[in-house]
Amino acid sequence: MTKQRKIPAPESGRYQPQLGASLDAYQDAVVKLNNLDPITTELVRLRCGRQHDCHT
Amino acid sequence: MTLLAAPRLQSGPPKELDGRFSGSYFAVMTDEPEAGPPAVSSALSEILAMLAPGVQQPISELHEEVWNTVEPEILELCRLRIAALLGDDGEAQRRAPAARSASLTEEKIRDLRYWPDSKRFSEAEKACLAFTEQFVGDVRGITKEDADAVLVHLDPEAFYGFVIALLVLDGHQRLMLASNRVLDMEKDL
Repeated sequence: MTKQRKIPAPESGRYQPQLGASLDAYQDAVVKLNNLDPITTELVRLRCGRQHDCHT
Repeated sequence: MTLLAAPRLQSGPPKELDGRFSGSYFAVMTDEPEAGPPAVSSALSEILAMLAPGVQQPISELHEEVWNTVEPEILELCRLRIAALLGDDGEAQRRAPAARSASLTEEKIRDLRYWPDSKRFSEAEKACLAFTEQFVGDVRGITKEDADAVLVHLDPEAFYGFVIALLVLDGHQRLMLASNRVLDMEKDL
């Protein structure tokens, strides 16, 4: 499947760096949670990636 | 009206929208108690404190950054539209003080379900609401045309911030709804 870019890539750096940093910090905190075992966590992450058409 | 069908919009004249806003979402509305709690609902904050304390601060900072990034009146309209689509009555009752200060009226909020035909909404707001409905209903199905309809009104950087904001607000509401359901089920056991 080929992804179609919706907006042009930024000329340098990233869009909304402050917001991006906050999002990264939030996602880091979520990944560090240990209430759920790593395999289930990864399955959930992959399911979310599929839902959001995110190829990470 | 079909709630999740994002209508193809007629593009209006480009409208400049500032990328960032100095007004704090956390303004205290002492004369309007219905203005509601700050960005992360107190109920969700309590759940996180109990079950995932390490997430509590990052999610609060993320929500604050969202409200400092996106034009608050448009963001509030989209937040309330998400609440209606997800059936989140609690979130629908909350009001963002930052949006109140930007003159978003209750009359306009009551018209939100009729936004495609209402004259209260600008072309930029309609484009953002259409994108929001597509995001909530089928985020994977968003097309370049859906994005282009918003990009008539927002530059790419503002659009990127808007999409992240939708992700954050949608996630907040789904997390709250799921938590309520799970915790209620636990109480019933």
